[in-house]
Amino acid sequence: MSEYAGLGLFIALGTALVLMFVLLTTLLGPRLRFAEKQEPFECGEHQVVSPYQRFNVKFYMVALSFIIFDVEMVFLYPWAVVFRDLGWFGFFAMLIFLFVLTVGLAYEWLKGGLDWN
Amino acid sequence: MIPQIDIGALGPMLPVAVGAILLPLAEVLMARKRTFLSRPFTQERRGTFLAVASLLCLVIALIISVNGLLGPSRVFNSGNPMIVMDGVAHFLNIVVLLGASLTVLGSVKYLADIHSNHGEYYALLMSSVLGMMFLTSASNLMMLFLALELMSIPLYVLAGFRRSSLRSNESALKYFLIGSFASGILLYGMAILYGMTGSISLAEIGKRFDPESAPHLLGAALVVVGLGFKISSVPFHQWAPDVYEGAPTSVTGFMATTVKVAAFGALMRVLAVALEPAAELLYGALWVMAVLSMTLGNVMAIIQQNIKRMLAYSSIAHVGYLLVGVIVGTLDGYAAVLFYLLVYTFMTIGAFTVVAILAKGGEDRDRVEDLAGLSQSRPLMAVVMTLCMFALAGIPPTAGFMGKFHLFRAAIERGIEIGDTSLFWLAIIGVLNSAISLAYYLRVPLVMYFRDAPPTSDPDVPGFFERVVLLTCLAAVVLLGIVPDDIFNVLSQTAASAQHLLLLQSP
Repeated sequence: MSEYAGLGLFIALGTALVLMFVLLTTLLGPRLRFAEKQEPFECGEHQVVSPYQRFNVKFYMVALSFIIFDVEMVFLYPWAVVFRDLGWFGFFAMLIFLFVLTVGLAYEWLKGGLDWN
Repeated sequence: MIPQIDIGALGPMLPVAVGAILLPLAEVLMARKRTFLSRPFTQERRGTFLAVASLLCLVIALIISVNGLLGPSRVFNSGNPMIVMDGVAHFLNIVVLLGASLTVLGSVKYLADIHSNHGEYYALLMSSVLGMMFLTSASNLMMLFLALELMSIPLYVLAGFRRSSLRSNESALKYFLIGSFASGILLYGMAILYGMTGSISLAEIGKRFDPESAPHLLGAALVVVGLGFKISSVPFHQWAPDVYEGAPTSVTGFMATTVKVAAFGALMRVLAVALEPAAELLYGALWVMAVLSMTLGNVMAIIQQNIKRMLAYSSIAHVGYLLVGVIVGTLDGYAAVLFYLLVYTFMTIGAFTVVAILAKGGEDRDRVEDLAGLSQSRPLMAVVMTLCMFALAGIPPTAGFMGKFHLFRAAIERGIEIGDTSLFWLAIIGVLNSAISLAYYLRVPLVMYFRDAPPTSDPDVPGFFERVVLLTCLAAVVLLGIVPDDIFNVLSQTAASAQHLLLLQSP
C-alpha cells in the first residue's frame, strides 16, 4: 500500500459521508415551502433590497464580539502548541492577554451591548 | 526559547495601559451604581472622577518618563529590539504626556458644555496616548505600524465625539477615510521595504538599503508619504482643516499637538536610521514638502474666519518649520525639532483651550469675532491667547522665537558646513513665512483688545482645571523663551546618545 492510499481513503470516505447526508436529508427531511425558505441564503435579512437602508446596529455589536473571540482563538492555538517550551512566562503572557479581552467583554456586558432588546 | 525581557523598559507605558483598560470599566460601574458615599453619581461628577483618574495615570507615566530620561537607555527585548526606550523616546513621551494631561484638564468642563460628557472619552484618549508612546520608541516596522494604528483609531472616534453634530460626524468620517488610506500607503511601502531588504528592523534596513535600486526607493517614498499624511504636510494636508474644524475643540488641540509629536518621532527615526542611505534623494522631496507646507499653510490661514480652521492651517505651516530640522539631519537639527515640538505643544494647546472655554450651551464659539472684547471680560484668557499667538508667530522673547531660532540656526550652520545653498534658502523662506504669519496671528489680539464685545456676549468663566491649563501654558511659553539654552544642550546630547544607540542596534 502506497503512502497515498490513506489520502485516497480519506477522500472516498469524505465524499461518501457528504453524499449520505445529502441523500438522508432529501429522503427524511420535512418539506416546508414558504417565501423565506426559497431564498438562496437565510440570514434574517431580505436578500434583494435597496442598498440605501439602515441596519440594526446590534448586528455590528455581535460582529465585533465575534471578532474579539475569533482573534483570541487564533492566538491560543499556536500558544497551546509551544506552551511547554514557554513555561510560566508564556502562561502569564497569555493570562494578561486574556484579561484584557475579558475586560472588553465585561465592558460590553455592563454597557448592555449583549441585550438584544 | 524564552526571550530576555526587561519589563522595566515599558515602565512609562504601563500606567497609561492600565488606565486605558480599566477606565471604561470604572465608567460603566459608576453608571450602574447610582450613589457613591450617599451622593448620586451625576454625569458631571463621573466625568470629573474619570478625568482625575486618567490624569493620575498620565502623571505617574510622566514621572517614570522623566526618570527614564535621566537614566540609561533600555531595550524591551534585546534579542529582537522592537522597542528602544532611548533619550529621544523618553523626551517625546514626556511631551505627549504633557499634551495629554493638559487636554484632559481642559476637557472636563468643555465636554459638559457641548453636551457630550461620555466617560469613554478618557479611555479613548488614553489608548491614543499609549499608541503615541509606542510610536516614539518603535525601532521596527511592525511595531511602528501597530503603534500608528493604536494612536489613530481612537482618534477617529474622538473626532466624531459630538454625535449629534453634523460637522463632527463629517470630521470623523473624513479623518477615518484619509487615515486608513494613509495607513494603506504606509503599509505598502513597508511591505516593499521588507520584500527588498528582508528585514523589518529599522537598523537592519538601514544597512541593506540600496539607494540605486528603484523598488527600494519606491518603498522609502511610500513610507514617507504615509507619515506625511499623519503629520499633515502639504501636499498631504487637505483633510486637516475640515477635520480640525469639525472635531470637538479639546480633541482638535490634542490632534494638532501630540499626534504630530509622535509622528515626527517616527519620521525622524525612519529617516535617520532606516532610510539613511537614501538621505540625499529623500531630502530633496522633503525640502519641497517643507517649503510648500510653510507657504501654503500661512497664506491659507490669512483668509480664515474660524479660529479652529485658522489654527489648522497654522499647524500645517508649523509642520513646514519642523521639517526644516528634519532635513538638516544633524544632531543640532534633531535637537531643534525636539525643542520646537515641546514649545509648539504648549502654545497650541493654550490657544485651543481658550477657544474651548468659550463654548457654551452645546455650541462652539470659534469664529474670530467671538473673541471681541475678551480683554475686558476675561483678561486672563486674553493674555494667554495673545502670548500663544505671539509665540506661534515667533516674536521674541516668547518660546516660539527660540524654537524657530534654533531650527533656522541649525539649517544655516549646516549650510555653511557643507556649502549647500538650498539649506540657506530653507531658512530664508522660513523667516519670510514667519513674517507672513503675523498677518493672521496678530489679528486675534487686535480683535480681543481693540474691538468692543457685542452686548449679547457673555464668555464663560474658566473652571479650576482650565485655569491650571491656561497658567501652565502661559508659564511654559514665557519660561521656555527665557531659559532655553540649558534644555537645548540636554536635547542635543539626548539626540546624540539616541543616534549612537540606534545605529548600534541590530538583531
